[in-house]
Amino acid sequence: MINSIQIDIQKKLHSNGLCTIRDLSISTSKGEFVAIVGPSGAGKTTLLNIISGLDEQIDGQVLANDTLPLAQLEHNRSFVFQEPRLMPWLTVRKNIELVLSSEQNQQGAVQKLLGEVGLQGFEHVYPGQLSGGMQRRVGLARAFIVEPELLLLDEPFQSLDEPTANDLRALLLRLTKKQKPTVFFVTHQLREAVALADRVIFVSARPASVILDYPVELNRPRQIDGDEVTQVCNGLMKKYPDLLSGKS
Amino acid sequence: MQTQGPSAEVGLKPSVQSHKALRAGSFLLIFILWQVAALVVDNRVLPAPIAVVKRLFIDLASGELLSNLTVTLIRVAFSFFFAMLLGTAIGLVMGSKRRLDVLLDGLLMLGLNVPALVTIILCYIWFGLTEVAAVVAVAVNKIPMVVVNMREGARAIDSQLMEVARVYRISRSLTFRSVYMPQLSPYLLASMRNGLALIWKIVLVVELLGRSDGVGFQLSVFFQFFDIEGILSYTLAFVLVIYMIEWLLLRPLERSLSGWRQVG
Repeated sequence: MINSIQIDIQKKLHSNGLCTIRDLSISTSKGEFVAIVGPSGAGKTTLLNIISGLDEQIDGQVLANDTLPLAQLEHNRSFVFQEPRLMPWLTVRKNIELVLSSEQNQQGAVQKLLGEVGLQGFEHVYPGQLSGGMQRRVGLARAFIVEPELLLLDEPFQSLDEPTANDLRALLLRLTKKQKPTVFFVTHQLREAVALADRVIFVSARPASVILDYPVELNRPRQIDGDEVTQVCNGLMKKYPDLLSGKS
Repeated sequence: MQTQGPSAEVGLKPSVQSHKALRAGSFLLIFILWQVAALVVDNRVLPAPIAVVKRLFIDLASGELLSNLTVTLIRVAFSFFFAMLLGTAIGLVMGSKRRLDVLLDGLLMLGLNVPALVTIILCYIWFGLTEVAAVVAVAVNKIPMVVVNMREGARAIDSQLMEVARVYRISRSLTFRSVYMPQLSPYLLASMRNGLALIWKIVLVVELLGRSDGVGFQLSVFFQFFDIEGILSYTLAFVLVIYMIEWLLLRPLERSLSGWRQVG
């Protein structure tokens, strides 16, 4: 079981020699929703790839519970990518069942989750027949069907219109509240981060390192376009005018 | 959200029907041209279609056509199977391992360009006038083409989807079946279709050169007797078999593998 995660990266060199992350440490406790905000190209996606174990070529380590490398600890993890990355040749239901091992695969659970994410009646439809918003619902269902302890999201609601994005944000919060995974949510939108997260970590432009670790103390539920969120954002921008361009 | 309901399928129907009419029309046209040509030239050089169909029934009744056709079909099936299996395996490895690709590329170029006749003759000399030699000779001609096609397929594999499989720890066999192979199915189908066409042709040459049964052997006998009606009757039988394979095997396979493309 993951009770806490400690990320400590001295250096991450890209294959082309570019240094994308330098001296970055973040630690989180179980069930925390962490948003990571930084300018485009800062190495945020690389960071998620490292946490997920997709990228192992680093100087540094990702530990679980202060002891074991996270990769060696048995845990369910999910990754929601920038593009939905569904298998176009599998129906909605098959796409979700794909990530379940055979003993996990219970018809009831898949059906129930499909209802929760608003995909009832779309079980036998192919992803290509769905709108972008609906495809992302499938992506979320795929992420939550394994009941992850660790959930990574890489700008999942980018390129959606605001009302659709807001529906999906609300859906994400509903599901995380229920399953309580530890969440890393990468975005470049300050407002989105403040509305969703328990903690917002701002990273610098490349090479990425932490420039501000900000706990969001607003009560939930929060309105993404509400006054409270606006106040927090404005306050941050006043205090650190260069925050979003990655300068401390 | 856009969903395609039954209305879209209904919308397809008229074009499908007009395609069928076109197809039938093209067959009819070939027969008419053949008939006209047969009227113009000497009947011994080009028999009329009716005569050839009549001959086909006679050959069928004698049983000789069927036995020759069966022998040839078995050779085609074996060569096809081995060529697809080996060619796919080699192609996938070459497409995903850069060093092996470089190592084998020269050999591949050689395989693609050595004339079929050369491999056939060499196989007969090295392995004797045997069934194995015949099948090997055909397969060797086809393998390089499968390799080229499947290598292209392996290079086009979407690494983003493979990452999904890794993140969610999908088992190797399931990844292969549900993530990897579906991306290759268009390449596989193309290989199968080209493969069948090529293998048909080469098997007949192989039979002509070193076998004493099969369609190729029988055609050489007809050639010696200047029996054009026999040649055309066998050709017609052959064409019918090809259409049957296309409609009963390849088309249904294609539909089941790429059904998701059509509804999209």
